[in-house]
Order: sequence, then structure tokens, then C-alpha cells
Amino acid sequence: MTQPNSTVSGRPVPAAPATRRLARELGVDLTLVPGTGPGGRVTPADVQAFLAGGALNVQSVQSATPAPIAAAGLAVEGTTRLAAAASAIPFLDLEPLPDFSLQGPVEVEPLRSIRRKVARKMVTSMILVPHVAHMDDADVTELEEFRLKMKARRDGEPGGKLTLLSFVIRAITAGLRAAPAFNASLDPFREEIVYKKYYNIGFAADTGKGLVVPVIRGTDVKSIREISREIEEKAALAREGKLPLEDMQGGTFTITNVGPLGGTALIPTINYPEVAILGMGRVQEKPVVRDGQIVIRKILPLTLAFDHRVADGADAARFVGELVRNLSDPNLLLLDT
Amino acid sequence: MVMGSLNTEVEVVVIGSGPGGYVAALRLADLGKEVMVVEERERPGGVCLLEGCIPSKSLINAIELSEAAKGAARLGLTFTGMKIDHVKLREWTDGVVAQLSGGVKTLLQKRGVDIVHGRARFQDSHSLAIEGGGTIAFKQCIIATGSSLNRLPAGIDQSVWSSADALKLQEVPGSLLVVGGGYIGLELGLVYAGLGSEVSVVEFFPRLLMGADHDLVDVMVKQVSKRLHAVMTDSKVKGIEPRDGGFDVEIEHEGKTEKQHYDRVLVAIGRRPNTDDIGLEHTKVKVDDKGVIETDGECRTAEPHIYAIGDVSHGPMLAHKASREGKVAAESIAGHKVEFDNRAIPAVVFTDPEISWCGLTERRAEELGVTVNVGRFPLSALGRARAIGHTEGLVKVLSEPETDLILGVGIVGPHASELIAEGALAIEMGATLADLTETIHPHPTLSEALMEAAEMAAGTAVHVFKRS
Repeated sequence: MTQPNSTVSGRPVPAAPATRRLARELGVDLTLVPGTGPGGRVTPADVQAFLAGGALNVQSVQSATPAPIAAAGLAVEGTTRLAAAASAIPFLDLEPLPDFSLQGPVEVEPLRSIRRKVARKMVTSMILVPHVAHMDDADVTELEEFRLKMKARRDGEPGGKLTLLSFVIRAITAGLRAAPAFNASLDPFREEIVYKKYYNIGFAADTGKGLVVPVIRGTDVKSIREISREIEEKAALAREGKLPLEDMQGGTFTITNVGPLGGTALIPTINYPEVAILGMGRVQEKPVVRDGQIVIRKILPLTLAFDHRVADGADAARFVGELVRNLSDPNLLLLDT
Repeated sequence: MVMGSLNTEVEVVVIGSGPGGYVAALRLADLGKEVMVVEERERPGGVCLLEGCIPSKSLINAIELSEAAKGAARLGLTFTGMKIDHVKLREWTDGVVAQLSGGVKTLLQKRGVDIVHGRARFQDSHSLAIEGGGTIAFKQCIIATGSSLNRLPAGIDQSVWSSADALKLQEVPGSLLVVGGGYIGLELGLVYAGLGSEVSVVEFFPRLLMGADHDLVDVMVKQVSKRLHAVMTDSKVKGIEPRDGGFDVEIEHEGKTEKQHYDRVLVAIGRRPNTDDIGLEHTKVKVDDKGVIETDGECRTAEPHIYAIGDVSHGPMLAHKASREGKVAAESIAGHKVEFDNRAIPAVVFTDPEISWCGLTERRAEELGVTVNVGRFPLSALGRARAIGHTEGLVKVLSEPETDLILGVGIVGPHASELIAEGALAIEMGATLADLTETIHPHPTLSEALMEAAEMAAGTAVHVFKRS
């Protein structure tokens, strides 16, 4: 009599029948789940953890695969890892890339460091979070006038640069206090929304080595000048690669400002597990209609990308509408926020 | 119950009511499916219940009782005037079978599962013709038609016994030749030896129970040889001729052919799936050259709405394997995500002593070139085995050297059939040696032997002394 499923070469992953059933129901390939139990036994918690991060975080899966499985000829390499991700998400069909060098000269650079972190974060965010983008234009003519006047007066002092970003951070903080859903996180495992009563705003910084998001803490109790000074300091440290890790952690909302580099509009990717991100386009003078007249105004295009699991379109419209109002009148911004 | 001619439509039809088919039908009914069972025999239960596991075990029990009584003299118990009334024993066995078969019928009826009597043949991929009239159109079907005994090649007298004939206990022959040294031949050979026949066993292969590990088989053979007249391995039956109400049998061994006379000959040379005459040619169901239906992990055939379970599909022809597949197929039909992904299908041989094993065997490990750690514990070192006077036997645990994961368990000894369940659980759970050694096993019982074998494998045993 033969004993199916009982061979050692290619022996099955040690896991209890109930765990195997769970994995089957969740569409998880057990051969790819790192087992934390004795002898590499896979527990139900391991399956859940893999589903949460493993399928997306394929690199760590590879390194964590127990040696005996690899030794048994089930080495988790290349295409197998792709299969892992594909098996976790129905219809996701990941195939190995073709050999591009057959078409022409190529240069291959391993995915390392910041680039790899960015890749993981973005894939997680885009696959896990149902993104919705809400767009609006803020008329910042008056704000810019006020800002440039203040800047001229304070130039050279710390925080004297008074960038537009620091005003936007201020305005966003006010908006978040009024609309807590955008300063939250959704925990899909506990099925809870965590509303944060603190306001730590991250801003995307281009460092030359890749994207870094320094975080300004407690923006609800900081003046625009303090915020402006921190932006200067942290952006400089980030560019030098000296920004401490804690200054990149704990963010509750992120702003990405590609405006100075140009661009009429952008759809940013949420910095998971935050709920929303604001993209700032380039401030441009544009002809707009005011009271039936065509006038030239300074227009800041804004896009709020948000997690539709937590907030709805109407919430976003209100949130962005309020932001646009605050940015259009420096008095409002300074008075109400 | 539905009898006679009918043309009907049903969600799911199950062909066969053995331990695969009836379990599938019951599960399907519980999952809210409209189910019909087609059974060609008069009673439900299949080979296992009607002419296999169940009657043979009730016979074996009686023989073991009588053997125990005979062996009790050394304990100071002498029984005089013991005799076996084989007619009474037959009635007892028939009663056991009737009760269980009636139970299956009741279970089916209580769930509203109709039983149609007759042989079913596929007319096409969505309907069956029932012999004697009627057709059944179905959305899904489970083929659970089981297996039949292999026959000796044509030209050899067919009046020899099959295992089903032997189980009928019509007579106790003076001498019996069992052709086939597998588990069926050995179990029934021992029954007749116990009833008083002079029993010889002839096996084509060099060893009895070819699938099992040698160390287990050797212990059993040493014991059963005392009750058998002869065990001829590496021997081929060349001819069986009826003579004087018995048979002259020519047996070739090492190039020499000898003729012996036996009152009866029992042929137990395996089984083949019942897939020949059920109209599979009218479907796209794939069958291999041995008659086995090809299925996937959910027990689906090449036609996704037709399932095949039990002896007609790959794997050992065992009732418990069929039952598990029956559940998998039923749940798959109900849309559950299921798979027959079992790692340990226990194999049990009800000889005296019994043999059982599950998971990896040493034979298989050797074939695969896999290194395993083997912990063996002899029953002679176990208190309970001493107390019951059965010290012939051993329990062994095969584990993976790097991880201590338990890969296989083998047992020979009293109640091996019961003890193997813990081994199957250990393998299915992905247990390690420590899981067995650190579980308290009741003392004094035979179950301690598995724990002790794991201790041997782990190198922590205290009840044996290993010279270093």
C-alpha cells in the first residue's frame, strides 16, 4: 500500500489539518509561509501574518523560509515567490520578466535600501488600500502675497524661508482636527479604525538617493515659523542621509509637494497605514473668472488621495473645500487654525 | 426507497454506498444538497461492511479469544472442552453485518436520501442509466463503485474461494491453501487456522506483506508461523486442478515444481477498481491502465462535475481513505475550499499480533534516499505488555533529523490497530518528538510504547539501557 503525501523529498510543510484548511480558505500557499513552530511548523497565526504582509513582502518570505524545506527541494526562489503573491490574490498573474538584454543593451541594478523600501510601501498601499483621489484648486494669491511679505521681513533667520508647505501643513492640521477620519488608521485584522489625537505631518523629500518622508510632530501646537524651521532642518538632514529614524516615523498624514519641480496635477499614493495624502502641484498664475471677470490669480492644484474604507467622497469634498478656503485667505488661516 | 423504473433528475447522485459513497451522501444531505444513491447490492455498506473489514474483524475477534484461552494455561487458567461452533459464529457475524448495514440505511433515510437499486452506467456526462430500467439526470456525480477481487488467470479452476466466499464460513476444510500473502490472505488464513484447518500460505514475492517494513513483518511472521502449516514465499502457483472434492495445486519454488493436495484454495491476490462496466467511455473521465480514475486534490475527475472516491481513485484501497475522500468530494460540491491533503493514511493488518503503520516507512525512506532518525521501543520493556503476556512487538517512530518532525510510525503488537491513531494525529499535526515525549501517556498501557519510541529517537529514553 502506498502512502500518498508522506514523502520526505518534497515532504509536506508541517502544519495541522485545521491550519491547512485555513490556508486553503485564504488562498495561501503553505510552502511559502515561514513556520514559527517547533520544527518549522506553520501555525494559524503564521498564515495570517503571511497574508498580512508576506505575500506582498516577498523578500522577507524568502529569507525566512525554513532551511529543511529548501533542502527538500522546495527552494523558494524567483518564480515560486511570484507564485506566492499570485496565489494570494485572485486573478493576479505574475510571470517572470522576459530577458530584456535580448532586445538591446541593459544595465541591471539590484533593488536596495530606500528604493526597495519605497517599492514595498507603495505596493502594499496600492494593493491593500482602495484609493480615491479628490482634486481642487486653491487660490493662493493673497496667501502668497502675505507669505512673500513675511519672508522678506524674516529672511535669513531660522525658519525664515516660510515656504508655502509650512502654511499648508498648518491648514491641513486644522482640517484634520475637524475631520478625524483623515488622521486615522484602519486595522483590518482587528476590524477597527484608530483615530489619532496627535498630529504628525510627514512631507515627502527628494534626497537624491530616493524618497524620504521626514515627520513634523505636534503640528497643532507649533507656529508656522516653527514648522518652517523644522522643514528646513529635516530636509537638510534627509538630503545628507543623516535624518534619525525616529524623525521618519510616527506620521499621521503626509504631504507631497512636487510643485517646485513642476506639474499641473498628481495622484499621490497613500503612505500606508495612514488614511490620506495631499499632493501639491505647482503654483501658477492662471486666468480665472471672478465675479464675471477674467482675472489672473495664483492657483495651487491640490489632490487628496484617501482610503475609501475609512472616508467617503463627501467627507473628502468637505475636507478639501475647507482646506481651499483656509489657503485662499491668510486671515482665515491665521485666525481659525 | 425508490424501486423499479424511473426517470428522474437530482442535484447529486452517488454511485455506490460503501464507506466512501454513503459518507459522501450523508455529508451532502447535511450540506443541503438533494442526493440520490445508486446501489447494486440489496443492502448498503459496500465490501467493507458486507464482505470485508466488518465480518472479518468479528471472525478474527472470536479466533483471538480462543487463542487467548489456549495460551492462558501459563497464567494458571485452563479451559477444557472449548469448541468453536462455526455455524453460530457465522450467525453472530451475519448479525453484526445486518445491524451495521441497517444503520447505514436508516442514516440515509432519515436525511431523505433515496436509494435506487441497480447497476448504474453513464449514458453521457450528465445522466445514468439504471439496469432494470430508468435514468437519472444529475448536475454532479460521485463515483464510489469500489473494487473487486482479482481472479487467477483464465484456465485455472474458478471454484476456488475468494475472500468473500471464505468469510461466509460455510465449512471448515481440513486443509486450506491461501494464495497471496497480503493482509487479506493472512487474516483469513489465521481465522481458518484458528477454526482448525491446516493452513498453508503461498506468496509470489520473496516476503509476506510486501508494502510493510521488514522489522514489523518479521515479528508477526515469527508468531503466526506457529499456527500455519507452511509459509511458502518466492513461490508461484502453476496450476490448480480439482480432484476428489479438493484441489491439486502445482507450486513452483526455486525452479522446482511440486504438487500438493488441499481441500480448499483461497485466492487473495489483490483487488481492482470497478471502473470497467459503468459507462465511463461515454464521459471524458480519465482512467489509467490499471482501471484507476484520475482525480485532482478535490477528488474531481477530468470532468469537473464528476468526482471519484475510494478504491476507484489513486491510493490505498482502504475504507477510511474512502470516507475521508467522500467528505472532501461532498464539501467540494457544496463549494467549500477543501482538499484531500492527508499525510498519514493508517494501514492496518489484523494478524495476531497486529501490524500498523502510517506516514513514511523505512522502506520508502530508503527508496527515496532520505535519511531518517528511527527510535525503536520493544514491547518486552513495557510493563503492560509483560502483564498481558504479549511482549512480541515493537513501536518505532521515524523523525526528520534536523527538525525532529515525526514522519512515520510503525507498530507490531497487540492493539497496533488502535495505537496507530495517535501516530496519524502526530503526523497530521506536524508534531515533533518532544510533542510525544512531553505528553503524559497513561501507565501502565501499551500507548506508552509510542512515547518511549519517541524518547528513543530523541535520545532521552530511561526505560532501556543503551550500551555506549
